[in-house]
Amino acid sequence: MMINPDMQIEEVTLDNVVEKIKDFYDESEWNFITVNATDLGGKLQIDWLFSKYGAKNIIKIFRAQDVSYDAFIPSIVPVIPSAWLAEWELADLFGLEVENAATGVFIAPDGPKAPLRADTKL
Amino acid sequence: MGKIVVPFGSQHVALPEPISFLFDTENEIITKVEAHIGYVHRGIEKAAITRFEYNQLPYLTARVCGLCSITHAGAVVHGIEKLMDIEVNKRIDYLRMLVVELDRIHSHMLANGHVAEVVGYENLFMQTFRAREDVMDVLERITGNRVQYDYQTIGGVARDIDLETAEFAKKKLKKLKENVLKVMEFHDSDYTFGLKTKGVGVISKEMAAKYNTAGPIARASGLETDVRAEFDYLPFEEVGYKMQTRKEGDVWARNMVRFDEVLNSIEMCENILDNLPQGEHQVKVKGRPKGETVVRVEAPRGECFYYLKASGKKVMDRVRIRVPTYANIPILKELFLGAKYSDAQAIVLSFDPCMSCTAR
Repeated sequence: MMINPDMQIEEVTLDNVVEKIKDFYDESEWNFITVNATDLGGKLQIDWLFSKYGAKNIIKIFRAQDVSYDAFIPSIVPVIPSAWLAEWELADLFGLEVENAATGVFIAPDGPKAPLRADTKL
Repeated sequence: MGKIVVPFGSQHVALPEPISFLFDTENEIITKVEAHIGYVHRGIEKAAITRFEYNQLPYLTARVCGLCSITHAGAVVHGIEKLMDIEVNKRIDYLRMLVVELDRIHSHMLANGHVAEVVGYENLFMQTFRAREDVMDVLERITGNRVQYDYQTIGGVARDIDLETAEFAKKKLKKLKENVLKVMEFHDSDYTFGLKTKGVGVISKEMAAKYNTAGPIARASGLETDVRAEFDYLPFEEVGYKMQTRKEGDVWARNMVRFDEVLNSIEMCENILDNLPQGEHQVKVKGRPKGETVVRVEAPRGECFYYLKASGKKVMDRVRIRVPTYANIPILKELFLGAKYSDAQAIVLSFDPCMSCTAR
């Protein structure tokens, strides 16, 4: 059978994403999956992804487009305590400045910097 | 007594893989935890968008994890088939379900054996692993390997099974079920085993939801979440899938929910083998992947998530992998706080952590 996810995408900005997620998120109803960045050639698309407990195929995505490498990414940890790990990964693997994120957690200190950026050649 | 800092890993007798926790302890109670998980980052996501073509990705992602390679290859196959508009036949669905559930059985048996070992039950560990050998034999016969299976391919599976193999699998599963029931009986009735595992590392249903806990860890706390029920990627309900939950939320319940799932998976495998649809084990594939999709699959350890993006070229634009151990690290870190240091091994192993997946 072919998968058929119901991807409900809502455009956000880095300025309003925390408020949008705060208004939307109910921990008994929604499962926070992760934060994902995709490098579209110098600009990033950042997605905050959720699935709905007990519902079929529903994926809610808050999407920020055209995010620059030097943007400041706000943390959603005050709303979703488990989000720190995915946020710290953004800092390590994309070299982004993420609010309250530690670095050196996913990559050893002598490892390559921001390996998932399109311009990082390995 | 003052604060004592105790390192746990990166090389620890209880941990098969490198993860490091630094515990601040006072009177052997853990008061602070620092986690380091980046010892072996392997760059698989980078390789997937630079060095491998889309049709090689099942092979690449199978190497995210030796144990649940079927899960990873399956996830990327489902995603690419969506992006290429490929519909497979029912026989392929059933063969995929068969190996997915066999994979779950052997992974759960391994996890429960490790928990038995770290709480001091060497013999139970060996009995559990001995019983596990039956499912390993079945997987080897079907896929050709004991670990690192390259079975699922874009448009099908690598090889079909014949009647003789189906009969072989049914006999082995019958024997496995008898042995699992014996080991479960021990878990249920042994007083000392209960002392080491009951009431240890308790996660309430509310905590499980608050920290977005995944898989058997969530279900052992009564949180009803299982991708097999929440995302249509294979027809599990046709072959007798039933969500397994427990309420206790402790180390014992995590082992028991895994055993419950082993029994359900055996039942599902038997139903698949008895009702295998006719058809080819590969369908024709043409074109290249284009667009974006998300894939959720239930790995033995819980929800495994893939995000795929492609623009019709040979190499994908993005392959993001979020594995279940990754999802469970935040709750694990919280769970240590206030726990006895002596329980740390059992708590960690009851999570069935996979650092190979996490540092993919």
